[in-house]
Amino acid sequence: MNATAIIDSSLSASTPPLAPACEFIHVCKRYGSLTVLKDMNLKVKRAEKLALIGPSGSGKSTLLRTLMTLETIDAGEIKVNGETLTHGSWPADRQRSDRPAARNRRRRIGMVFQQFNLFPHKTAVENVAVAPRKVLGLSRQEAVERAHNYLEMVGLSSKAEELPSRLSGGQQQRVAIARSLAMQPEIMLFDEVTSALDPELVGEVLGVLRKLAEEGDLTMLLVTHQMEFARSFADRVAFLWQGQVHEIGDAKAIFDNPREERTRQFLRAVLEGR
Amino acid sequence: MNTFFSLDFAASIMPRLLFAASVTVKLTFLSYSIALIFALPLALARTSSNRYLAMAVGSFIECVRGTPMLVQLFLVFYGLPKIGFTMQPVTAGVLALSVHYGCYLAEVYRAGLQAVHTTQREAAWALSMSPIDTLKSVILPQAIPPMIPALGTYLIGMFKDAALLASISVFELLTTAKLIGTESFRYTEPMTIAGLLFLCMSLGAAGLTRLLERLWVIR
Repeated sequence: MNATAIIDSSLSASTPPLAPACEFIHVCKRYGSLTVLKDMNLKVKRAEKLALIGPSGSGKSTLLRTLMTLETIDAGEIKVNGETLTHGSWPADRQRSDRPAARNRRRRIGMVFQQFNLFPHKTAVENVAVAPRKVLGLSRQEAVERAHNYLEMVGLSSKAEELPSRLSGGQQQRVAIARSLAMQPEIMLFDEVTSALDPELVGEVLGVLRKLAEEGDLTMLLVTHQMEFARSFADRVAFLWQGQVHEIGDAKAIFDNPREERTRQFLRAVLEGR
Repeated sequence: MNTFFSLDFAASIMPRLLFAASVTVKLTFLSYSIALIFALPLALARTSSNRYLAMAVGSFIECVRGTPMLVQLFLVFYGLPKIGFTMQPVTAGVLALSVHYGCYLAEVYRAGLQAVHTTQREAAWALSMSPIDTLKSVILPQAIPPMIPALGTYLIGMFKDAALLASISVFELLTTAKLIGTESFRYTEPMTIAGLLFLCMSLGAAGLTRLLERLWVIR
């Protein structure tokens, strides 16, 4: 175990000291003159379910995208399991490296997107099987078997042979979740995964997330506008404002008794809009 | 009446013209295959994030596209031997055809590649797929089908441009037709037949294109 790992006081003495699942240390991200992440600091514990809320432009999605290394950072450091994933001092091509070592670090993380981003030319089962086959080196048969298991988990066994265009939005998003899970990541990022869905399809996707959360081990970071879901799903909730974690705490505490005026304003605005 | 078009004469020169047509078909398919392969690294380099590479390859493509193929053909056939690369007319012709068309096809590829939405690359990135797997399994299967009509157009164009090889004495269809004309002082028959044979090749290429389109759509 990495001796320099930051010991989390909330873990009992019997468990070995564990580094946080992921950690943002003074991370800055700018687009031209616009600062999206401003000295962002955040630690996510292993197996923690963290919901990220905040007004648009507060940096929620950018936070997930930098962790997935889809975006470079301008300063600071992002660690995963105590290891440096990316560093602000690295040149852009090293931060966005497609070398095997970088891919192996990235492999611990999976991401589900707002627009699903399924591969339109592949059937559901092929969508799920392609990365395990190509990246993990599974045989075709093993990969397909694994894909069927994950499709079953998201309740889509019967749609395995369908192309994405023949599936509803909710079904597509569940395939996308299965596709990420099939790589067996330690951390899963969900970027407004229900925002593009018709209201009546939101429930089936949230149901899958809840099931995943109950299974335990997975660290989950969820950007969402579904406040009731965030409240029941998350261990902690972080309210982001102007590129920083403005307030973070227990889900119940944030929703019932926010300390910060900004948080209160935001929650009032969002909950009134229902 | 038979002075304008003599069927007997047409029949007598048919074997020579058919043989020459087969040379044109072979030259075109060989050059087109090379162009198809050659175009891919060109397209990738032109869309590369390395600005210098992209610019160098971009300039090369523009130069080749922007000058007549006949000029390139003469430079290859008469110019290269001066710096030590002597070659047969056929080799020079295939080289010029495949480089010239490789540059056109590179632009077709580029358009096709760029039409695949970046979110597809992001999805592959989030699955830790390697760049080569991303290209093979995600990008190309989506980029190729919309490219097929344009690829077919250039195949037809190449059949006709293969006639330019006449100028460096490659015995393809048009050279042979012209030669028959000078030997017999009869141009109508060989040229009409040559034209019809070119038309057959083009229609064949168009048919092939449509067949490929249909196959990809079914997939």
